[in-house]
Amino acid sequence: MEVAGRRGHAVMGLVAVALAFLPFWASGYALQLTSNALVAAMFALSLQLLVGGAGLVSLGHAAFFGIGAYVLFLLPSPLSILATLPMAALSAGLTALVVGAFAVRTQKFYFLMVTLAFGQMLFFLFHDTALGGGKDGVFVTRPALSLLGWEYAVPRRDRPAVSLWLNLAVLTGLYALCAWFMGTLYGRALQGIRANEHRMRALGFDTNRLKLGAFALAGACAGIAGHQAAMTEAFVNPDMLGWHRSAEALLMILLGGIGALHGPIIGAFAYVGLAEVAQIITERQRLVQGVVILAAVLVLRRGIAGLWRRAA
Amino acid sequence: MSVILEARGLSRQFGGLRAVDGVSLSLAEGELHALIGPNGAGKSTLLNLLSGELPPSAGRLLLRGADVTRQPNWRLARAGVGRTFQRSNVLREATVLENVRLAAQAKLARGWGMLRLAAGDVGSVALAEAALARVGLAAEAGQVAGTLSHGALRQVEIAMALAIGPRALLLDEPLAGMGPEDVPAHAALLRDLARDHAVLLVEHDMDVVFAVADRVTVLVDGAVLDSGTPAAIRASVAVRDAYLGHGT
Amino acid sequence: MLIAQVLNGVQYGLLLFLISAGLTLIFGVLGMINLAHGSLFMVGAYLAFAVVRAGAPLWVALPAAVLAGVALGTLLERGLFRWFREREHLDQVLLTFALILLFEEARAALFGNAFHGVAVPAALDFSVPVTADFSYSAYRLAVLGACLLVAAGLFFVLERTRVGAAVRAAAERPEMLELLGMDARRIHTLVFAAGTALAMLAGALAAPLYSVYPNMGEGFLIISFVVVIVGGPGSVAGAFWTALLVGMVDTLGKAYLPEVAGLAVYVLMAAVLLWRPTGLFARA
Repeated sequence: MEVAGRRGHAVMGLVAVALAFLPFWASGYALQLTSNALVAAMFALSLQLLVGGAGLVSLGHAAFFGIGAYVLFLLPSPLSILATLPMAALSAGLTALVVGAFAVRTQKFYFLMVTLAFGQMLFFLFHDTALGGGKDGVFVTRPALSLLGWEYAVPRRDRPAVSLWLNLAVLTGLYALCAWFMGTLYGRALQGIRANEHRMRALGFDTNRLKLGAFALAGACAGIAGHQAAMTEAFVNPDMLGWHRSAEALLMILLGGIGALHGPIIGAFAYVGLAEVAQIITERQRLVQGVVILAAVLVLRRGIAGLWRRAA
Repeated sequence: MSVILEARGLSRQFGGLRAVDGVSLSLAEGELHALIGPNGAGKSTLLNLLSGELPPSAGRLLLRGADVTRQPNWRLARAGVGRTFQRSNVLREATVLENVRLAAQAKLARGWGMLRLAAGDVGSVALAEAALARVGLAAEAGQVAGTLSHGALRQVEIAMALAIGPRALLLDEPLAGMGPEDVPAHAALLRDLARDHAVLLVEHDMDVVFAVADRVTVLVDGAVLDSGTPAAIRASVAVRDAYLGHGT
Repeated sequence: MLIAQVLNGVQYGLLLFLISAGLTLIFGVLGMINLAHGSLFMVGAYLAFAVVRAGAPLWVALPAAVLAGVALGTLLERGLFRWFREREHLDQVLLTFALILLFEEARAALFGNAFHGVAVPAALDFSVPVTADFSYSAYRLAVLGACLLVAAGLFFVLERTRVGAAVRAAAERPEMLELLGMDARRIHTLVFAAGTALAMLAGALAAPLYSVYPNMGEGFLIISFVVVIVGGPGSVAGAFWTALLVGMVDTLGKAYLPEVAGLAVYVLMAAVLLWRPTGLFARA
């Protein structure tokens, strides 16, 4: 998996700036849609650390996303985002550490089953017990944008814009973190594990431990994405932990290209955009999804990001 | 000459099949020890036992006197047992240098040290370049591993094993599939490696084996048939009947 | 009523076994998981619904489900999954996920999104007295019996026939097939077709008990994963006892401790993974 070079990052920066100007001319609905895409991109990016980064295809990743979201329900409000965001990351990360301890010792399809099962377990935890506030979800209070006593109270009409800017900022931060991480010796070792784990063990790498660290980090990042989802919608529900969410994120990675760190970001926007367009054309959403997957798997082998590279 | 790796009565069973039966064997520094035997004799299994890929059903494995029986392959690799594989196990999409650098990183960077940036990590790059130079591949460092010839890939394998700084080197048929013009250089490399490592060589090419080995052990049906100097083995009637006699 | 719940637990467990047996064999021999395995269960159920709606007796759906399962399984393995063996793992996973979506779409197009009840066959529409003051549905007992019959048949094939021995060997060590000189590809198709047929048969049997409805296979699928994990991948005997265990835990849990019922099965799985990672019944 490649991390984009200077030119790629320059392009990404330009797109980010363009998005930042969106609130000045786009409708409220468009802003909402963009925020959704940004949050989806964050989640898909966190999963890419596992999939493209270490070769670990997990179907339980949404559980950590959901935990990050539910933190806003479980913590007393109002708190500053400077407290809630780290809490979300920490809770999700610690949970991922526990789940990972079980999962990481397994391979490929077995790993898939184990992560799916644990994801479902956490889903049921929030769905069936009092912890989650109910099967249908519950409203949450957005964290305050405050720092050391000074608070920026967001007027209602500005909410979509502020959400968008905040999500843009968090996504940028997450991407920077992931790009740095994949560039470290740890990241290189993970890439080696993805290519040939047996070989890496034969060289002396404790691959289970390395995978566990990546799993926990990815979980923490998913928690951050979940926090942002809850903050944007001011609503959380157990489906946020469901495995269909994980599968969707995998699809975004596939669409955007597993070979590039920024692939899932492209994939998320493509997916959200496609879903919007498809909704206008037909009611058969699943059919569209299914066909898109088949097309991506059979035709678009390297994802959208791969198209760019071929052209370049 | 110190003994680096020692097997004492190693056995390995698969259901009813005894693949390795009570094998005792020692590898000393500065010595090239060849392991020969017919197909299915258990050489691969024995190699897997010695490198920790498989736990033994019985027996002990000692590394510089310390009991390392049942330790997994990555622990043995860290402790100083390096090996190559029959089927080239390199990372095909990465460059030759990155392949070997990754191997070098295994020992150099642990724990928080792994959070250093890879680009410009002098330590692992230096070790990798040294290993590549030793096997004679310094010029090919920048090439993508998948584009290399078969013989060169075997050299990369050895470089990777060297980069982890092992005391013992277990080489699994390094000459397999190699063109005859590459063999002499490779054989010379093997002798050179034996200078400062304890080398175990599994090979089918008898000419090379008898040219480079200091000791030869013959494995038949999972058990040691005979062990001694190349000359002694060549002269052994039992060995000739069981193995060398066929068609030579 | 405890005895009712126990019988329900066994009956659910046996249906679960039919689904899991296929899953564990496919995983053991082919090394893959078809996420759409639950959809196959659904196809079997809707097949039964269609048969009954067309006026035919329910039992016709059973051999129909088996034959359709063999055909569909062969088609899927030969026509699709075989070509994906060497592909990136992500591609394989999403391919099977796409199948779930397409099956759901086909179901919606053919049968709509409503719940449909499937009538219990008139011949079995009575209650069998089990104890002095308790009677149990005859159909449920019939399903129980049918599943046990299938289980017995499966064990017979696996333990007493050459093909069965080959499949068992392959499930433990996939390289075995080549070493034994058997045609691995044919065994793969056979196992996949059999697994598919089992899932579809289970669906047909289950239709009158659960009704047919969108996404009905999903719950069974995920619990089946737990059965495969706990029972030991590749072990049909393991799947049998584990399915019964899980069936009981889940049914009794839902009856007496509904809040933790959903979780109980997964906690069991976690405990087994911690204590015996290769599964409760796996051979060393």
